[in-house]
Amino acid sequence: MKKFIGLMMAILLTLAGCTTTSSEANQIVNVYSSRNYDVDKDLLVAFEQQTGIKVNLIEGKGDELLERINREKANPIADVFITVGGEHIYYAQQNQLLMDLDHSPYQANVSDRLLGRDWVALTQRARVMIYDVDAPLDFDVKSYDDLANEAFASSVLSRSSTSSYNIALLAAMIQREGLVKAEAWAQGVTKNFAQTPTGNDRDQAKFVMSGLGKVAIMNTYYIARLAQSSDQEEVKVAERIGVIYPENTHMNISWAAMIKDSKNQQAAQKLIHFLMENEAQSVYATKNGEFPVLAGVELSPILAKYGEFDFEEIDYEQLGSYVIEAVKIFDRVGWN
Amino acid sequence: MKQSKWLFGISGSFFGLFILFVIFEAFLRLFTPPSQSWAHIVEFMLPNMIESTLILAITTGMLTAIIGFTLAYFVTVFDFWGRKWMQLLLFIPLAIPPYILTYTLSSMFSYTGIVQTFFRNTLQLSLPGTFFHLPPMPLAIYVFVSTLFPYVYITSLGFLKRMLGNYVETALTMQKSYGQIFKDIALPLSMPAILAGVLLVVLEVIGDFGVVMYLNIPAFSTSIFRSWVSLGDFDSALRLSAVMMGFVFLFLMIVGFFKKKTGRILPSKPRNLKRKKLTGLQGVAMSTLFITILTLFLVIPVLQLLFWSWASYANIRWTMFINALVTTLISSVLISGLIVVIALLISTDHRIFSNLRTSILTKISILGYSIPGSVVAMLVLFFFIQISSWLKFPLHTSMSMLVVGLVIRYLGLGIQNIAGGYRKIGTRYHEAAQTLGKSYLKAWVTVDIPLLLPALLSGFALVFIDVIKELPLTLNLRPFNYHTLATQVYQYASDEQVIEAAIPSLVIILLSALLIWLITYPMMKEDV
Amino acid sequence: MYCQLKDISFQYDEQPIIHHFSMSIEKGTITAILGQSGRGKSTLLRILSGLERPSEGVMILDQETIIDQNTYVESSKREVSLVFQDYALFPHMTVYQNIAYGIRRLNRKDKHRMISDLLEATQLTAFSKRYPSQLSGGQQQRVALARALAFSPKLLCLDEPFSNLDSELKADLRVWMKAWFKKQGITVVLVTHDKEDALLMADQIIDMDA
Repeated sequence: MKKFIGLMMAILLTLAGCTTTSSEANQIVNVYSSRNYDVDKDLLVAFEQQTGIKVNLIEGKGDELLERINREKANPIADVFITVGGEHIYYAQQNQLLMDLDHSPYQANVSDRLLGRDWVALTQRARVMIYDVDAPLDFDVKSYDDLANEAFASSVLSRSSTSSYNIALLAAMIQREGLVKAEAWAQGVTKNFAQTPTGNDRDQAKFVMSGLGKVAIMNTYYIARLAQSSDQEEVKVAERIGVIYPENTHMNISWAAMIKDSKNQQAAQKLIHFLMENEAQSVYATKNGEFPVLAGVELSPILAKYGEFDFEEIDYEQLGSYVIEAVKIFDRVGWN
Repeated sequence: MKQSKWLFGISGSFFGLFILFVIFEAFLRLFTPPSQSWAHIVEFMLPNMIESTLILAITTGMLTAIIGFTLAYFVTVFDFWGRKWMQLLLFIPLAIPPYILTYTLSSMFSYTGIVQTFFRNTLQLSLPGTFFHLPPMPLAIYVFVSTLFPYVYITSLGFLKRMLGNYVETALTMQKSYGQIFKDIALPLSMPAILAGVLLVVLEVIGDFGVVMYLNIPAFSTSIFRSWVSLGDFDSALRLSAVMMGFVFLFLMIVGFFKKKTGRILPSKPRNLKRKKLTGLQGVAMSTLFITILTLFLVIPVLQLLFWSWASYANIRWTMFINALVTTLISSVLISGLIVVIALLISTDHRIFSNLRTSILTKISILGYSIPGSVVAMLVLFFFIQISSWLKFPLHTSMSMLVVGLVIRYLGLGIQNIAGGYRKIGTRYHEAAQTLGKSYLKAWVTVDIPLLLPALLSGFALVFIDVIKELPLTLNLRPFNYHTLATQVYQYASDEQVIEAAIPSLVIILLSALLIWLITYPMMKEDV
Repeated sequence: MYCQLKDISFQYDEQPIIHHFSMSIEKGTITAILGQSGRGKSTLLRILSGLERPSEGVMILDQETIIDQNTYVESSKREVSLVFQDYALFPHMTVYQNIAYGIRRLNRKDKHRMISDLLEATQLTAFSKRYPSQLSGGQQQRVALARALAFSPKLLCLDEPFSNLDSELKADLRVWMKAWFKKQGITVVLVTHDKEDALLMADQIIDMDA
């Protein structure tokens, strides 16, 4: 028995040994990422091949990874943090987890609202309203406010308020228009729900197509992904989606940053620059259906089809400070 | 002789205290002043949370008890077409992770799923979308019942096969029907076995995260997650966990009470029952019942996953997949083995001394099974970062952190099994060996361990199928470049690519099923 | 003839256990079946009570054909009681409940009277509220008998009724049982490996070793 335990310990330790990290020269970069997509992994491999720098990756949920970075502050492990959701910047800055970046290679081609001293957006997704083109809406919908209109009684669909996309949407609304208006809006939308929020973004599109409601809140990202689905029925759904970009369309960003006191700063900086290059941005746009942040990169055909639109101008660094209020509003108005 | 006993006492105490040490932070929060979000949580989240958790736990517990026990009874007293292999297949739904079944069923019944497309495209029938809509709560209950009923089925079957023979035959000669025997004899006698199964079911339901999160049911684990992630209030999350552990403790006590009340002596000579052969309409009806249950709970989801695997195999990154498969296999086997060994030490400690210390240690070790994985993950992470800063060595980037997390989370499951095994063999054989001049350790190794082997194996299997599908701990505590099949499923599912998740899902199910099969087959083979 | 077995054969896993066995039993008599273990004594009782089905043969009980080529009456329709060697008292029921469980077709009052009579006859009145686990071996044996008789069977089968009892208790119980069976006019078949049991109790002895 003792031998058995000993053997097992030995194997476990070897396993552990393979994965511990030390920073010899600048040949490695440790990445914490909540962008758990295949294209992101492809990009990291491409980076390894191009530069010879080994990329170590831990994937997880954004909030949990950030919590972990905060706990590791005294002796940071991560060099680069990549996540979905602009609302996390606030927490990262408040806890002084990030360090200044060199934006020089791409600064000229990126809008000022998409980068800060110590962070840069990688991609954007628009949170839009969708309907079934075979069942056109009765009136001209222009803004998020219209979702609270009585004409939409029992016909609005959305996923739950646990979704970080919805939380960011409402937080942005609080930032732009204030608490009172945001709460009234959430109240109005909740009253118009066709059903208790359930399912994910793709499900909302399917609910619309099956006639459970007339209009749904959805990310453009998932529309593009539906169009590329392995399932022909899903592709058909994507083709039937009518998209409304409201005034001040909420833009959800993915962003990257370098961790303070990172041990592999040069490599970290290189990786971020790599992700901001034309090639990487084009992969994000065409293969993953996101809006690139770099000017001049071509959109995926399905998103290009929907044309130009009016997006919101918010301060992403402050967005996170409204999250708690947003969650409390959701609870108060009963948006599950 | 004395020293070898204390070996168990010391190792048992060490692991128990270690766990207590790690999860202690959650209890400490109960005595700190509440944060400002706490009032909000109590007003808006707590009532919903308690209500939905109770509904889920009670309904699932009852339904699994009814289904699991009834099927076990039928298989024990009746013989009918297909019984031999269907009684084994009924274990397999346990291999389907509940969150995978949730994605699968939701997608099947969605607008693009097979059900609606069949009506729409094949039958040219346009039925309203509400017709196919699966409401979240019933769907969650369905998922839990269909994947967890084997827990009750297993415990009941083990009991019925060994214990029922003489009682049923006595009642049969008294002109009692099989219905009366079910109600008057089998059910009351099997209560402890049923409760043992229901206990596991309820703990799984309370600890679940994937299902309630996907379906947006405000249960304990979703609320804990919400207060932590959305409200950024980790203190309140821990406070909620502590409340939840209180519930679980209460539940354990209630179950313990009922067990004590119903646990009476059993006949000295258990014998297999001669099954009544069902013929004609009765036989057809019984076989149909079993086929229906297997089709609903096993065949349909697996077929759907197979179909999706075929549709998506071109999109799978195979090197990544193979890598994840190898990692999953190695780590699940090693970690499950480690958990069984520690569970064995703690159970043996309790068996030798069986005093207040050991019974508290056992209860502590079971606690981890009831805390949501993500909370265990944070507690373990804090603990390791503390230790690392003392030792000035980054322990928390190694595999050890994940191992500790999984041990804490699933130790209870192992202990449940092994403690049950100890109860079954009693101390007679051990004492016989000791009177033959064997030391405690020697008697333990040569007599108890071989007798315990079935319990050790089934403990290993049950832990394995939990570890292989585990998500929150793996996501939070894993070292660099560590991917498992479950994290692949999670990756695709969280990106709403359910179809791409099919292949890793199927492999998880297959591996778990294989293990269940290996362990139940010899058990079932004894009596065909 | 009250009960008759003719040419009964039984196989288990293609091993013949009983081979062309015949016997006749008069009403109100005690028949002892004697033999070493492994001779199919217990199997014979299981065939009588309908728990096993013989491969061939005829059984007649109280002028009714129970088993022949075209007939097979299930155990639940036969009215033959079997007391197991380990008694199989229901552990979750009290002595009273155990006895009550076998009673058929009686109203509550008559049922209670019958149980009281049985408890008195078996000297168990004081133990009626106890559970089987709280009784001695001899007491358990008497509860099992009372329960079997409460059913008013046409035939009472006893499988090694004294094997779990010490010799002193056994002597007392044998005498008491025989007297009681005779008084009530019960037809009994008992199986034993002890010649003394057979000689003392039975009107007819069938030796399976012969």
